Amino acid sequence: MPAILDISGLTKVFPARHGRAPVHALKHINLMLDEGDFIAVMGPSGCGKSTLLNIVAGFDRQDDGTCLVRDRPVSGPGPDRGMVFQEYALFPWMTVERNMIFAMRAAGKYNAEAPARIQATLERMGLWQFRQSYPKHLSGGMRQRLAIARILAIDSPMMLMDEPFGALDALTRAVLQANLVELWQETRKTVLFITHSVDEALFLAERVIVMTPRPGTIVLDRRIDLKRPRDVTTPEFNDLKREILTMISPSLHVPGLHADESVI
Amino acid sequence: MVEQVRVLDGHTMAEPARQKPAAAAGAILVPVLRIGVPVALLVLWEIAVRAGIIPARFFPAPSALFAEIWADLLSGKLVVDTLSSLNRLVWGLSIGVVLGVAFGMAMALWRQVDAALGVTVHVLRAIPPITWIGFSILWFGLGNRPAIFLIVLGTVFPMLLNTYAGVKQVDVIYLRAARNLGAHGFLLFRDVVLAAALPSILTGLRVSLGLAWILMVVGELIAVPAGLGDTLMRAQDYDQTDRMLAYMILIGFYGYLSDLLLAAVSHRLLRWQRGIEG
Ligand SMILES: Nc1ncnc2c1ncn2[C@@H]1O[C@H](COP(=O)(O)OP(=O)(O)O)[C@@H](O)[C@H]1O
Ligand SMILES: [Mg+2]
Repeated sequence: MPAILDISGLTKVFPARHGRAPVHALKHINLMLDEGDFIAVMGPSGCGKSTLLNIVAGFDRQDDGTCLVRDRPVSGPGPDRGMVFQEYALFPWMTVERNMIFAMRAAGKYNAEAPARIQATLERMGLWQFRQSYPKHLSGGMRQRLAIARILAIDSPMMLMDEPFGALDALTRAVLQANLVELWQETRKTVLFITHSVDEALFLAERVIVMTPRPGTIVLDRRIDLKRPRDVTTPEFNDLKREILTMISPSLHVPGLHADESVI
Repeated sequence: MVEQVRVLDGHTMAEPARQKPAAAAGAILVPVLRIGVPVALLVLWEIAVRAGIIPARFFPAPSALFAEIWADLLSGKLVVDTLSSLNRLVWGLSIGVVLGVAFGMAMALWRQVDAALGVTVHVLRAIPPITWIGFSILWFGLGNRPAIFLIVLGTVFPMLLNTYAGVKQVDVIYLRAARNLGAHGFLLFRDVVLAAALPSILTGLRVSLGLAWILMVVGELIAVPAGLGDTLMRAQDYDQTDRMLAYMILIGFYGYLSDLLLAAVSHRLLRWQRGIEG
């Protein structure tokens, strides 16, 4: 499969400010993503996950190295890399339907078929009956489904997700995780998913990448060949979880680390 | 999958605020007070004048004011005055709003424009608009234009400052999301920057509307041979205290009505800000 994303030698240093030392947010990151793959980038907060995603999204620029999307250097944000933010980032002054219309207009994809596509997408995400509601009136789970719906509507080949379910309660999060896997299986979009939860990474991804901070580097890159639908309570799942936690524990300087994701 | 989702997280939707019993009592008392107290004041005032406690020559009774308004309404004078004043108000306010929003946007969006105009704007806005009356007559003579000029001067700065603050406060997450979806140019400006700044712009508009009424009357008192302010000035010259006070209160009433209208429009435009019952 061809690489949709090709990152090599990516380095980002935030300059010293207010008397604090410069932050090596990313140091020589190499990462190749195959078209249609589902990758989870995992690591403790501050290890540069968002920085990495922001460079791929075109919100931020690297200091060194290259970031190629389909062989072309990223030069700014664009609808080919649809982003799902932890803070939802829906437009509160637009109804559910208006948010969708705006997304399609912005992406230059608002044509005669757009209303039908919007309806189909909202129905798929269980939001059609709420099309006249404002985001304020939606629950957190519904908001995030709308954020995903608008990326589906503009048909981004790559989906960037920065801890998208981090603000949701455990039950809603579990449902949305299952939904996301279904969606990925249907659409085979390339997903770059950021999380600080081992469980989430293992449940969702085909490949898990683990980063550690100061400087932000990749310490583990592993394929997850658990069969789907995955069950977080199986011994296989726990074995994998233990393996990953054991491998990254030295870099976390936590002695006797056991399989408790709260450490991560 | 869809049904399951709805059951699982549909219940977390914000519920409408329940009314407490005390609030229900207030629901009756509040409208009664709103109408009752002004009516009671009018009645007391009328009685005080009729009983000779307040001399009618210094402070006419409400009945005299109503009679005055009624007579001017029948003669058509009131309508002519009102339309003539409204014409200046609308022109002055429109120009002030367009200029204020345009400059506020430009200064908020481009740092160079901000740097170039910031000091000038802040000095000019600190000059009381009424002090421009001399120059407004010198430059424009008598008539509509000096009054419109005063209104523009009075309204442009509140509009500018509120637009500026509104744009500066736009959360960067909205800009990121919009640009991520591919928005740029006019779409980004209208649907994101302008929409996000709208609450602040509407606040500026409400302040400006109040100032516009004041400056319209000031302009007419001095520089315009027509309108409500002019009638007020003549009534003063001829010692017609009934008409003077009647028109003063009328102007207050118009100002109040226009504010109510604008508040209703704002309420509608900003429905997205309110809770589920809004
Ligand atoms: N704009 C910035 N200026 C200075 N330092 C920053 C900035 N953004 C992030 N950092 C620092 O870079 C490091 C990585 O941040 P981030 O990518 O947000 O981590 P993560 O998403 O993994 O929690 C952190 O130490 C953070 O404090
Ligand atoms: Mg982050």
